[in-house]
Amino acid sequence: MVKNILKLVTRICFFVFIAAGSFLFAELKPSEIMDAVLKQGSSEDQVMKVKMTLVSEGNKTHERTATLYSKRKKGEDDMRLIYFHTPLDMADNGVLTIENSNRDNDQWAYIPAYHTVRRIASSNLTDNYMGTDYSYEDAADPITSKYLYKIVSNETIRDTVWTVISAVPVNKKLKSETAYSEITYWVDPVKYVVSRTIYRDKDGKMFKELVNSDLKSYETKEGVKYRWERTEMKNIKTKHKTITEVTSIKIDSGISENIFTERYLKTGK
Amino acid sequence: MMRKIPEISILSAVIVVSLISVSFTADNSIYYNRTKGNKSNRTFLERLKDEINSMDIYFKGEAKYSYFCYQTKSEYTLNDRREIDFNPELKWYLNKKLFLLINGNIRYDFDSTSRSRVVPSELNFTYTGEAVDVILGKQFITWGRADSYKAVDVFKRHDLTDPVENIEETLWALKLGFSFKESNIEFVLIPFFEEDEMPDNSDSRWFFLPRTKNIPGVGDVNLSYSYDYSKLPPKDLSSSSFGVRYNGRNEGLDYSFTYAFSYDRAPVQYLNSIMSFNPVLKSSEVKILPVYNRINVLGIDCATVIAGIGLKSEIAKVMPEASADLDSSMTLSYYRFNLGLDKDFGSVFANINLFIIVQYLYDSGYSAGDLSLRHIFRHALAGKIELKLSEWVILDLKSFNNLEYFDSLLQPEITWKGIENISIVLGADILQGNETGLFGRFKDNTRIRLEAKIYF
Repeated sequence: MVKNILKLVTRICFFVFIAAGSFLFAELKPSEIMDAVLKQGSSEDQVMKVKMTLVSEGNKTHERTATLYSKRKKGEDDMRLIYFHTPLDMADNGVLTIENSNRDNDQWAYIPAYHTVRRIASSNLTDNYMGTDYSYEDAADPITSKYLYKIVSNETIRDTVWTVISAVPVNKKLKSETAYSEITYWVDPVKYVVSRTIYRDKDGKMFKELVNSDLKSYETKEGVKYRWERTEMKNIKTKHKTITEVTSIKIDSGISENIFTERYLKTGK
Repeated sequence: MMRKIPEISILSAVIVVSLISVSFTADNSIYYNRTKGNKSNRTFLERLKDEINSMDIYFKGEAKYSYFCYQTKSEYTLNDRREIDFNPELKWYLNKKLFLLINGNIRYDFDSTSRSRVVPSELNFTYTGEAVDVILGKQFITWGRADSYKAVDVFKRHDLTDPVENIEETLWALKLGFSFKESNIEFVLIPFFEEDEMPDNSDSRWFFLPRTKNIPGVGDVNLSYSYDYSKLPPKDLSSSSFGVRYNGRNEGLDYSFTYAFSYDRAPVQYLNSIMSFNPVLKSSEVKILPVYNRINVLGIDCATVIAGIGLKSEIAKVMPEASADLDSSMTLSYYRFNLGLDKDFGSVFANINLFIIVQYLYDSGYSAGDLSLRHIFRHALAGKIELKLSEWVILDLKSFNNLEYFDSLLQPEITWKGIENISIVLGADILQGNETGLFGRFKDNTRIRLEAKIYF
C-alpha cells in the first residue's frame, strides 16, 4: 500500500516537474532556450579527458586521446587548450586558443619536433577538426544572435519531452561561411541539454547527425551542470563517424590562467 | 652479405624493443588510469606500467629506419646509406612543478659509420612555477617565430653530417624565464661553446672541399683532409654565451626583442694549409682549421595573422668581434632577415586540405669564396606546399631556391600513416643549379629516401 502511494507520489512529482519545466520553458523564446543551453554547457573552467574513435565506412577504427582545458576569460570569451596524447606521432602536440569577441581568435600550435610555438590562423569554419567528423563550426559555441530559431515540435522519448528547435543562419557573413542551411536540436526543457542534433547542408539534405548519451550531473559553484559522457557524430554522406567518450571531467576546479600560455603549451603534461 | 648480418640483427632488435614498447604504451594510459579492470587479468607489462605511472614516470619514443639512394654514383664516396635511429624519452615528474627529461639518440649508420653515436639529446630538469620557469641541462634553445629559417635563432647547434636532413642539436644551458600578464622575459646562459657536428672527409658526400686539385707541372693531385681543432673555443667558462629575450603580445601581434653574446656559426672560417705533398703518389694532405668568432646580435621578430594569412618576420644585426685569426672582411657587421607568409586553405576539394608557406630569406654576410656551409640563404625563397589527402596520406613539397646563384633544393615526399603508430615516408632530395651555390655544389647528391618510423 505504502509502496503504491510512494509510486503515485513519485509519478505526480515527475509530471509536475515536467509540467513546470514546460510551463517555464514555454515562456522562453527559442533563442533564449538556446542561450540557456549554452549557459548550462559553460562553466568557469573545465578539464576533460577524452577518447575519440574515428570509424570509417569499412569499420576501420583509429583512436585519439586528448586532454581539453577551458576557462572563461571575461564576458563570453573562453580560453581553450587541447593536448593530444595519442596517436603517438601526435603526442604532446597542443593547440591554444584565446577567443576574442571583437576580432579573430588568437591561436598557437606547439609541435614538439620543431621545439617552438607557432602562431596559426583560425581555421575555416567548415574544415574538419583534426580528422574527426566535427568541423570547427561544430566545435565552437554558436552565437545565437546570428540564427533564427523556431520551435518545430515536442517529442516524448523515454519519459522526457524534447523540444525540437530549428536554427537557420541569418547573419550574412555566417551564411557565406557555414556549411549548413539548418541545424535541428532536440532540447531537454528541464536540464537544458541537447540529446540529438541534425545538420542539413546547403541543399537542405541531411549532412550530419550528432547523438549524445550517458548524461551525468556535477555539483558546481554555479549549481548542477550536466555533461554527456558519450557522443557520436555521423557524417551521412561519407558514412564516417566519430565516437567521443569522456574518461574524466573536472568542472570549476579553479585551474590557473597560466595553463593558457605559450610557456605551458611547451612544457605542459 | 657480411654487411647485411649486423643490419638485420640491429633492425630486428630495434623492432622488437619498439613493439614491446608499443604494447607497453599503446593506449598511453599514463593519462587514463584504467583502475576499473580486474587486476588479476592484467598482463605483467600493464601492471608494471601502472607501477611506473604511479611514480609519475612517463616513457615514449620512436625508432626510425632510413635508406638513402644517391642517383649519381661516385668512386670516392658511398652510393647509398642506411641508418637506424632509436630515440627513447623518459619524463619523470618529481613533483607537480618539476620534472626530469631524458631523451636519448642512438644512431647506427651502417654505411657511414662515423655518423653512429649514442648521446643524450636532451637531459634536463624543468621547473614550471606560477611566474618563473627554469630549465637546467642539455636542451633545445630555439629563438624566433619564422618557419624553416630563423634569423634570430643564434644559439642553435646543428648536425651537418647530412645537412639536407636539417638535424637540430641541443646545448648544455640554463634557461630562466619570468612571466608577466601578456609578456615574459627569458635569460639564456650557455656555459661553454659546443661546435656543430661536421661532415668528415673520409666517406661523406657532403664534404665541401675538392678531392683533387690541378697543380701546374704536376697534374691532378689527390687531396686528403684532416681537422685541426686547436682554434676551437675552449670548453670552459671563457667560451660561455649569454642571451636575453623579451616576448610580448598585443592585439593579435606576437613580438620579441633579443640580444645575444655568442659565437658566429656563420661563418665558420676554414684556414687550409698543405701539410704534406707526395709527388710520386700525386697526393697531398691538407689541414683544416675551423675558427669560430665571437658575435653580438640584436634581433627583433614578430608574428601575426591578417585576413587568415599568417605573417612572420625576423631581423638580426650580427656584429662580429675583431679577431687575429680572421681577415677584416669576416668581422664586418651584417644583417639576416626573413619574411614569411602562410595560409591554411583548409578543405579545397573532397576533404583534401591545402597548406602553403612562402618565405623570403636574406643574409648580407660574407660570401665571396666562402667555403663554409654557411650564408647559404643570401637572397633566397623557401616554400612548402602540403596537400593532406586524408588523415593518413599527406603529400608535401619543400623547396629552397637560391636567387643569387640559381641553385635549389626540392624535397617532394609522400607520408603514409595507415597503421596506428607507424609512418612511412617516401621522398627525394633534388639538388640542382649553379655550382657556386651550396645546393648546386652538391647536385651529385640528389637522392631518393625511404623512412619507416615506429612510435611507442
